[in-house]
Amino acid sequence: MMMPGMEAAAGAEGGAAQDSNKIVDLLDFVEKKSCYARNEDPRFPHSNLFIGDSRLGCKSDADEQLILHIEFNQFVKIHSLKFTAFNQGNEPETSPTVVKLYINRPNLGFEDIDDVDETQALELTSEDLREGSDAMLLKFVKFQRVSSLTIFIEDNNGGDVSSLGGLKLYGKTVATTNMCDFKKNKG
Amino acid sequence: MPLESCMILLDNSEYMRNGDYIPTRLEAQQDAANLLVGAKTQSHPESTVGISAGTELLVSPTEDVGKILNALHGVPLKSLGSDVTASVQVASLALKHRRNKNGSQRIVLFVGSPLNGIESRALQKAGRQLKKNNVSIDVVAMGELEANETKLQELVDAANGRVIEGQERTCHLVTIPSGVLPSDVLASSPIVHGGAGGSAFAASAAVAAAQAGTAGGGGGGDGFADFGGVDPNMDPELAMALRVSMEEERARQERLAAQQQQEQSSQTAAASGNGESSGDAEMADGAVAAPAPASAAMDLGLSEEEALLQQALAMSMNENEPAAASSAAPPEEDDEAAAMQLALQMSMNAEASSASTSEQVSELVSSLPGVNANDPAIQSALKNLKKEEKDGDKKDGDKKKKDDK
Repeated sequence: MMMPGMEAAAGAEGGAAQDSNKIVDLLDFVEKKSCYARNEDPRFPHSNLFIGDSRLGCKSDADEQLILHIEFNQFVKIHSLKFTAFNQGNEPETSPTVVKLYINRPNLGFEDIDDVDETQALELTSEDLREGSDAMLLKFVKFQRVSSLTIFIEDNNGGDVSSLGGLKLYGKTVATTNMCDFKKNKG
Repeated sequence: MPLESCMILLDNSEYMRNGDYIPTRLEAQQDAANLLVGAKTQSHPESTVGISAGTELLVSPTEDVGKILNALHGVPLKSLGSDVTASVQVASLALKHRRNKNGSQRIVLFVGSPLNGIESRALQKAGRQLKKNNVSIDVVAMGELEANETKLQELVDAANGRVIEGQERTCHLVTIPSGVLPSDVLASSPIVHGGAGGSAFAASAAVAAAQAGTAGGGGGGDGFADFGGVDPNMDPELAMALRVSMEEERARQERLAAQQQQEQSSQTAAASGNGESSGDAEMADGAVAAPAPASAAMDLGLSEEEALLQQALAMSMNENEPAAASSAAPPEEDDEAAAMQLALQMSMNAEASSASTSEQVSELVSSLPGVNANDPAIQSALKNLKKEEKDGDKKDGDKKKKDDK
């Protein structure tokens, strides 16, 4: 239940709050040391994903499945995800099609992926993977307090291995309430 | 060896009582594991090692060598035969929950008991599972059990996956013949020095030294290029001798190059001299055309081409003078001081003669029949003559370079 004055204050600071807490690239909050990938090709490690060049990507090794674990250095809210195809989509058969997202599951491996429910499942099309296309929106309410995100690439377009050219995460941090923005509630 | 988390799987079945290794299989295995623990923990300060015996985890991966050695020494014998697939799964679970997620994962499996109850399909499946989880496996086969050999090879092959040409295998199988100390065999095997070489583990100093030698001899050590690819720390005298001889060879090549340059320039001079004698207006053409093949042959920069052109012009202008004529002849000795003086002289001549060039050309033009030397068009052409020569030469040179490409 909200008091009328408070509502007015919230309305007034709405613009400023959005500015200071708008959707940003979450790359700055990724704890790279704690990230890992399972079934990655040692020549195409997951660290390539954040470089921004789709020719430097991550590939799976033994089969088409791949687990990417991304750890954040603080709690974040994830708004949208952008996958980019490997090498500008020149190997369309290796592009992932079925992707499952899990949040706050440290040490998730292939053997226990069936035992836990995914936070959200995504179906990727070639349009989604194109460089420059819009990021995929997530169920924002389910990604409100994320300390780690695990991306499980379950299936691809039929290639022996799966590959990704880049990954971008958009969202905002949880603990960035700027106390200066609060206005005194009169009445 | 880079950062690595390693699980050492010991065999503690009753078969390990066998005395084919000295003193027993079990103690020989302990000795070999000791060596491995030392090698792994010393190769990188953050590398961790864990121990399990059979399916029982004794120490999860840790950097604390004391803990590891303590566990190694208290391994009891169990009457049951070991289940390799189960123990590999336990080890990969321990590796999955390791603290430092950076670095690679590895299992070193000791097998000294017959794998009777285990199908090769189960082993292959275990190998593929390891591969999928980015775990490498090294297998040490003890006790000459022939049935084991093929099964373990299948496990290692499955864990290696597709072998790409030229790529190093990450999983190895080492068989230890009876009567030999397992630690001796391991010290020179890829299991200890990582397969990629470059280990400086003190206990296997001899191995490391041999590796360094081969790496240098193969020309891989760029740092020792001054010493002819020989590590100066290994053999200082040989390295010094090689270095001196390489320096001498370099000096000789430099002298040779200087000499060739001199000869080229003199040839250019002769060519442009011919052009002058044969015709009047063709002179400029000859001077332009002559340096181009020379520059193409010697692959010189543009500025060097210009200098060469100037030298050639100067010499062709001063051909009547005896001093310049003698200097145009190729030097007898490869004396560097003489070459230097020659170059100086020629560059000075070039400066002095640049003014006289246009004068001579204007004389030639005026002597031609039916040409008015005072015509403004000819006057301006004469003014631009030198500039055009240079430009023409540049274009010519550029074209040559493109052709070369």
